[in-house]
Amino acid sequence: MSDNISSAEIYPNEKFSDKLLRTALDIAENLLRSGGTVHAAEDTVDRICKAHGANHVEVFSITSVIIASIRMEDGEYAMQTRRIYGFSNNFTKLDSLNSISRDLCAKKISLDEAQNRILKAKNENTYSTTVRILVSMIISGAFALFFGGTFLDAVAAAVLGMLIMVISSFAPKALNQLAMNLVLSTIAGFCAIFFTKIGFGDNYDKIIIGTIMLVIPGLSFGTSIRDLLCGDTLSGMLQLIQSVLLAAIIAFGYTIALFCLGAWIV
Amino acid sequence: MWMLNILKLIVTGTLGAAGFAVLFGIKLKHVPVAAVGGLIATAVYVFMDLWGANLFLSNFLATIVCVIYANIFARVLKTPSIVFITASIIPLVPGGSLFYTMSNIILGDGLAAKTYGLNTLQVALGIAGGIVIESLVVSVMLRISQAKLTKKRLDADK
Repeated sequence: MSDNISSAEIYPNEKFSDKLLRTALDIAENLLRSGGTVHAAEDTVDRICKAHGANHVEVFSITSVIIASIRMEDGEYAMQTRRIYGFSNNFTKLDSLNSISRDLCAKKISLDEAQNRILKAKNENTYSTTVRILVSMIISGAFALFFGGTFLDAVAAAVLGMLIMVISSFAPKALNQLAMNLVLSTIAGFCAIFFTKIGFGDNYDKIIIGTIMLVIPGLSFGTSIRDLLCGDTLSGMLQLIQSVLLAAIIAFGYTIALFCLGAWIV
Repeated sequence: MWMLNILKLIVTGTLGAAGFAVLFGIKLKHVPVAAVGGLIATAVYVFMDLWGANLFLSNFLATIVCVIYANIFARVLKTPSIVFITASIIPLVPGGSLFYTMSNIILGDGLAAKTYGLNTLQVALGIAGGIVIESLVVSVMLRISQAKLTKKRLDADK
């Protein structure tokens, strides 16, 4: 797996072009994994390789794969690909990767040093699970109010937001994202209707909208259209289909709850 | 009453943006910047809406304003601008209408699905349009500054 690619010692007789491309791709791969754009990833590989003596650089990237080949001034040739399985927004990591790439382009650090810093950036931990759970309570409460719910709705949405975050942080990572979100939204739907029924909340749909902001891919819907307009047609289309499917699955989960408890609510 | 309503929208929008800034793993000292970005986005959107602009236009303008803000602070704090853009446009994101579109499609209510779908697309196009304008301006400005740099270097070589 790509986890042990980043250790510099395991390739003693590596050609310089291979090493250069490996380092550049390590940065680009982690950029994509932490929520960077396709354009930024391609740009990074191009700049780093050109700054270190590559004559010719070809990079192609979509959200799930990077293909790159370089030719050095002495005719040495290297080609590598990377597959990216999913991403999660982590802007601290994005920030430090960006500064590594900037230093590398300005030749302030060597390739080995860059490798060490990439490894360090990879293990950079951000906020703890407790903080994330608290914050998701604030988010879902705030958005329940934002979309026109009452104060009681906001409290109910905050409780459900906590529930969603707890389940998704302790769920196994290998689980299919669509299946995971189906389960989450079904549970949240049942709870929202149950809460309004027992008087803890006034409008179940406002509670649902508040909690849904945590899981709905509204942002990637927007960025996919941005990619389409900027000329990254392929990755835009991939992201668009992914986000529409995910939204449909989430809506389906809530609809299951509505079908089962709908008669009970009115 | 409507003043109170606007205040509620702006406060909750800011809170939401700040919360997502933390979930996205922005450094703690940068979180207030992102929250103010969310405040600006919500305020512009709300006032455009009050003024009677349509969904596309109000989201487009709100995105442009917050993208300018994000770019300024990205230069000051030496961070990629996408960090602040992503967190600030959170209150504009059409999560609610995307959900209503899909649930109406599943329930078979075509008319409502069409209305909500149109809303979602309008908002998404507005946001995307704003970001595209930003990347256009930034790339043109980068090209100009690079041309100036190379010219300076050439002059120095002479």
